Amino acid sequence: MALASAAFDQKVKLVFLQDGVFQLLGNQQGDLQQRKDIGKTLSVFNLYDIDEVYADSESIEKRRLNAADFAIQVECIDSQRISALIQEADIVMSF
Amino acid sequence: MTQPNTFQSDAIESIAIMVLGSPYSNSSTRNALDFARHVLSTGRRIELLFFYHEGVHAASGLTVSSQDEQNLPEAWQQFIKANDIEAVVCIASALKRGIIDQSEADRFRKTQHSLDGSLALGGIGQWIEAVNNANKHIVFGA
Repeated sequence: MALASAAFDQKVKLVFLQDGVFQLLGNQQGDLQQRKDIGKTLSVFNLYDIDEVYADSESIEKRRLNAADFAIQVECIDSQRISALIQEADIVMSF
Repeated sequence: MTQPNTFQSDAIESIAIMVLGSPYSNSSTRNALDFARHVLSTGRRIELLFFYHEGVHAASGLTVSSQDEQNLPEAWQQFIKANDIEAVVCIASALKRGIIDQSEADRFRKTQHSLDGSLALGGIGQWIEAVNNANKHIVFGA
């Protein structure tokens, strides 16, 4: 959805929340299970001008993850900042 | 996920609705249909109905329900036909789940097709256009 939106000239900001933060982990090796590797999708964000990617720091902490292990650079933000992002946006979609 | 409580506003004329949940394993699909009916009953327009991920199962023209149970896909299809609503099913989500129209069935040499005629296979681009055109959008089953 993010890529399609960007392809249609929408300004996209992406926020990873709760279990969604697991998707950011690098080296997922999805092909071992014959599954799509989201790492490939994450790596093309730059090409689509998606440069604002955020992750909820509380979700990361609760899951004992480390942003250093993520496949891409994300900005770790708190829930207040997430609320602000949602408020600022014209359109919000969640999956 | 629902929008903030501004539904009473006269400024809302059209709403785009996305359905993600599958008809029977998720009550969101039933809720979405109730919501869609309500939207029309208040005199508003549904900009687009978009079925995505598991939601595509609502587009099957081959479902058979038991007597004491509502056939939810059929209910959706009747609603769409009766009100002439534009209803799109994400082609990527649909094909992998066996929701295909005649043309795709021929193309991929499948023995049957399953998509009900009230809906059409389409792409996310149509959803993106709809959310930009509509006053509000709502996603059921996230």
